[in-house]
Amino acid sequence: MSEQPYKQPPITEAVIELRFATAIEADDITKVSAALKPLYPLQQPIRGIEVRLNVPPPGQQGVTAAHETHGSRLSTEDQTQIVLAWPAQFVFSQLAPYPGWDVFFERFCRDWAAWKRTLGYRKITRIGVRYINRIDIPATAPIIEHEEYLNIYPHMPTELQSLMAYSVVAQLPLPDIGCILTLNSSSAPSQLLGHAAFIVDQDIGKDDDPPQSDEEIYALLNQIRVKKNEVFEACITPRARELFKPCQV
Amino acid sequence: MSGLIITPRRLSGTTANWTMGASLHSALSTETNIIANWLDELRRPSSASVTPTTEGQSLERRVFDALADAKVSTSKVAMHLERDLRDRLFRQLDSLHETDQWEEDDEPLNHASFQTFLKAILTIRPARRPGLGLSHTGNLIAAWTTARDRLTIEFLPNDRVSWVLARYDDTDEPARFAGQTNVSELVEGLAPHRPDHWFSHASKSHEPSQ
Amino acid sequence: MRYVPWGKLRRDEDDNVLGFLGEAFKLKPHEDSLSVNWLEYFEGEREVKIQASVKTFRSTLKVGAKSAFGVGNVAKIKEVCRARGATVRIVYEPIDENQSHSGIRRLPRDDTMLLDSLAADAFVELIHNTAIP
Repeated sequence: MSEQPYKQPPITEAVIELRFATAIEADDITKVSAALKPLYPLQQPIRGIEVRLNVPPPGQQGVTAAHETHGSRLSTEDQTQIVLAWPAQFVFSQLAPYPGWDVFFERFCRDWAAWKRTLGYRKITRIGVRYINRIDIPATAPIIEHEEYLNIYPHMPTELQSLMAYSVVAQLPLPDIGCILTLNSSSAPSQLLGHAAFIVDQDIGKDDDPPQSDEEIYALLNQIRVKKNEVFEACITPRARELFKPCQV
Repeated sequence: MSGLIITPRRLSGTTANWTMGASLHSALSTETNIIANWLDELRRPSSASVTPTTEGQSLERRVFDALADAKVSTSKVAMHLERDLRDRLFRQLDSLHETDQWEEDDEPLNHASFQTFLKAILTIRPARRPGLGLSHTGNLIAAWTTARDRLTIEFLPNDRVSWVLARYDDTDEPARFAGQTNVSELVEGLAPHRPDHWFSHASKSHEPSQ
Repeated sequence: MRYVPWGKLRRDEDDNVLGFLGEAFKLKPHEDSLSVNWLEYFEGEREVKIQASVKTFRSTLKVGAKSAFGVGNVAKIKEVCRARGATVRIVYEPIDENQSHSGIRRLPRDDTMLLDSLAADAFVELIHNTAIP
């Protein structure tokens, strides 16, 4: 396991996603699933349905468009390493426990190479990295002062205090790496008794002329890695860091 | 500071799946619906929430799905679990779900029961791990045994637990106690019965079957 | 003798079998009696009876390799149930494929202490399926 800043990182899922300009056929999904079978012995078909409701001006008919896609979900026996093979997406996921960037990235390189060996080159339209963190805070009182743990939360007027739940979404440009950051923060049901949970979910992606060569893809991913660490650290307070058991330097 | 109220009442939905609500769409302006759709897209569910299709309901498939679901659920709290404990738990779950050992018309592990189990284990944090079994309806059962003394907990959906214990104390007539509570009250419910008798390694002493 | 599948055996953290869970003696929703084999139906010495009963189970049920069988004394079963306020009847109910079949009737459905007592104090003998050729 590579060196990490925390012994108990709050990462519940880390994802690298590549989107393609052209979809692959069902046979190709089968082919790449077979190629990855030695690494991901558990494989199942999956289905995605996207429904778009177009609400028209008064007097005109609305249009509902439903688009169904079929893919394959590949996983290890313990369900922590997952690949989703969609017609126009390669989604590479690591569930907790997070093994560190080096291990995660090495696995991605391995699987991406296998994908390309099987299916060849397809133009990439977006490269994204997503890290979902769940911060479990011991609820020692009826009200959790989430501001003591997080730096991202809704700013409420004085007249409206003591939230029951919240969700904040923000998009920001990251011009130094040519990406866009989508940052979600929300309260969530805790998996632990006597705790409150907060999600810090960041997605950093590039869809404006994304790199196409492996060398450039890897370089961008490593740039994103640095940036996502900066973003995460900016979103939490020292009190939150204590919860993750920082490693001794 | 505003602060977040911790309420025992279950909220009607998590923020993870909040949407504007299909029922409101026709009442809202086009611009509002565009914003709502955009926000929903920003809150994409994680890949872990992509569940396989369940075409066909063969036993093997149902068992597979139940096991996969349990392992994904465990990953959500894996940062709070020792790696060894997680690995051994998975081995026990795999063992429980061997289809050639399966009793007909039994249900595989119930998702809600497993959630209750995880909450209990993360709260109790027993030094000794339990043996595991399954009820007919797929509720997980944890069993601790120290000599003849037995503690058995069945994890029910909706954060409920049902427990029964028997202490022989060197007699043939055990004292038996049972309870059914919310999982948050399990520790309190067991406290009078010295649960360390089962949960700690110091007491480990059992007789394998003949 | 009661058939107990792997999932309802009481085991330790390393899956060593220790006995039975109370769940092994719980009535399923569609059942109105707990199915058992009456050992005394079979002829011969006790070991022969046991083997014959196991073979009967194997011919009528899907018996998992890692399963086991619990043997309980009728009087003890009744005593354990009586202690919990339940007056059970153990009724000989042969069926075509199993002439030794019997049923424990009037067993309470959800008495966890009774079920635990049956598992620990009534069905005290455990026979591994693998022990019977």
